[in-house]
Amino acid sequence: MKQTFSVKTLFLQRVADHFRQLKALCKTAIDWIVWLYVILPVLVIGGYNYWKWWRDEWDLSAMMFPIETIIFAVLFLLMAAGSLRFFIERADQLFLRQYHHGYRQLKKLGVFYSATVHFIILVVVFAILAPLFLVQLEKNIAFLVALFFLCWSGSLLIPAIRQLLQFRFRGWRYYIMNTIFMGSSAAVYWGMIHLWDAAKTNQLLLMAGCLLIIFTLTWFVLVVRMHKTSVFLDELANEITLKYRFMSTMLMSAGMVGAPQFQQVKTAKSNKRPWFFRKSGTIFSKRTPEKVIIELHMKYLLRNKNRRMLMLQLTGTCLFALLILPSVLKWIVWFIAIIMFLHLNNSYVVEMKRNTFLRAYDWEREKLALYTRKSVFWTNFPCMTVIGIVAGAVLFPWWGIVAVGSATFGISYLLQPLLQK
Amino acid sequence: MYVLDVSITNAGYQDSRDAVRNIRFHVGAGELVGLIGANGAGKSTTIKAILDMLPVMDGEVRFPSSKRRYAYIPEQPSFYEELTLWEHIEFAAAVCNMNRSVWKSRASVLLNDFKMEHVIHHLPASFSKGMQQKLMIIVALLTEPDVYIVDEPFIGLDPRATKQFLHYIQKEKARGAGILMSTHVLDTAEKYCDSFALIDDGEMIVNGTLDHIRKYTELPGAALMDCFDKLLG
Repeated sequence: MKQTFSVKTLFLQRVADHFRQLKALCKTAIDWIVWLYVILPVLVIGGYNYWKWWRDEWDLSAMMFPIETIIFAVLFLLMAAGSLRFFIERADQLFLRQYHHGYRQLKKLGVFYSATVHFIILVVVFAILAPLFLVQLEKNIAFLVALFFLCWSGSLLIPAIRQLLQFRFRGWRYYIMNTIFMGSSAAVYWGMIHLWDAAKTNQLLLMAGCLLIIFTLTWFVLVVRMHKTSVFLDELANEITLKYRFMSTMLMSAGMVGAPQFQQVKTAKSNKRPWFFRKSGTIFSKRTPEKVIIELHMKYLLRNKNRRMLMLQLTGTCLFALLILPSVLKWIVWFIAIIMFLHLNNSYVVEMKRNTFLRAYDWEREKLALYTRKSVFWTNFPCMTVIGIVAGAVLFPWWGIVAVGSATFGISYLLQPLLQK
Repeated sequence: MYVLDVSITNAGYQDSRDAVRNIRFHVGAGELVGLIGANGAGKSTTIKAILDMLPVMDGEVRFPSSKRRYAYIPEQPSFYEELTLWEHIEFAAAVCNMNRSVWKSRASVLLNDFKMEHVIHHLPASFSKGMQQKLMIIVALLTEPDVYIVDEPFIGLDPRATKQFLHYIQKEKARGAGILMSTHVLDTAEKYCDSFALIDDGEMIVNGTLDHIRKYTELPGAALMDCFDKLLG
């Protein structure tokens, strides 16, 4: 019997494997009993606020921050975080890559998958934001729908162009080109929204015209991206990064960092020297085991883009929540932020301690625990300072900054031994 | 005088608690012991058991020296992706409480000998496998420990670096350090090792000098490779 090879079957099998892995991870890595304590109150409080967004109209002029700008910025960031997954694997270099048609078909299916995933995510996000747009900002349905399609298209266009830039430029050149591209994208996005908003007549026609241009551009760029050859290793590196982006975040938050052996793919000209402390500079002049552990932890965060960004994003999210939520919820967010950063940094410590390089030295357990406790305190310091100051400022008059700021450090310091793994 | 005394009844993982069994040998000061065996025989697991890196360990590993100073060179280079080569050296020196002028001059010689001076501020993730292995060797040699535990050191090393490494091994032996080296490269092992511990299927088959192994296998004057071949049949 002749057996036929189907790229579609292969692709579906890989997608199914991916979801199986995610499911297994959800089952094993997350302590659902603990999460229920977080998820249930969030759902109840969130549901109540969502209902209030539909019912009560806000006095936008009395708000201390530009809500409209923040929402559009969040949507842009969501669009910029979009990804293009092709589900290629290392072993494809042996066989599949030689069959250009099959390999391209795999990529096409990848685009279809990415588009579907982004569509679903955006539907959820827009359903959440709908009362803000329709009730609070008084936009019409057509505007909301057009914005949805703009974001959807952008979530494919932006990663496709960024990948093309990645193939063409390396190191600092890539960062410059990427910054220019992201800046221009933000300008176009902002300009388009402003134009739609300002249009008194023919708004529908204007929106349809803009979307037609964006869709055509997206289609064109995706075709170019799919026909790009000789970039297998970059595509593989990209794929592995995307595959584990979600998983590693989950694992980090679950404190099980380092469980899977992630395969590392080195691109042709990866950064040879770090951006921070380029000449192996030191943070502490005294070189004791304690100081080098603290320094290791700091460099561990600073020099790893994912960890650095996660800390920044979490800080940003907490600050955003502190600014927009009612007072009672501000206190909850403030307390959760303290726990969350302690938990996250303790997870990094677990990951650091698992490294064979560290384990090859003969450490006294108690001393190492003490050093890492200090390292968690210092790596938490910047985030705790910002969160403490902002929480103090939004909850009390000027003296709140000092009081809540000090309380943040105190509570963080007291809780730390309880969360240490 | 022994610098490492190994007596493992059984050790392994949760799902295979006796991955290695009945492993008993010792390493003397100034002695190089070759840990040899086929692929999957249990050499690396034995080393992990010695280093207390296994979840299941029934037995005893003694470092008679009061300071328990050892250096480990793993088969798969293990390093922090966020630290440069120089920072790894500095880290090791700080953890071992070394005098700054001592470790700096020692590091400078080692970096020069292993031709790594030009990449001291580079991240090891950008290195080739051989260069990463050199990083492991440099960091181990820097601290001048009592015992070296070396797992497959020659994989990825170029001939010049291999020669340099063997030169340092001889030097460290002369200093009085004991070395346990797991390897597949039997002709090199035969030339440099003082005694051998042969492992098969997680168990120790024979332990002793080459002459002892020849007697045991009844192959007088035979090469280590032939004895190995006969023992594993």
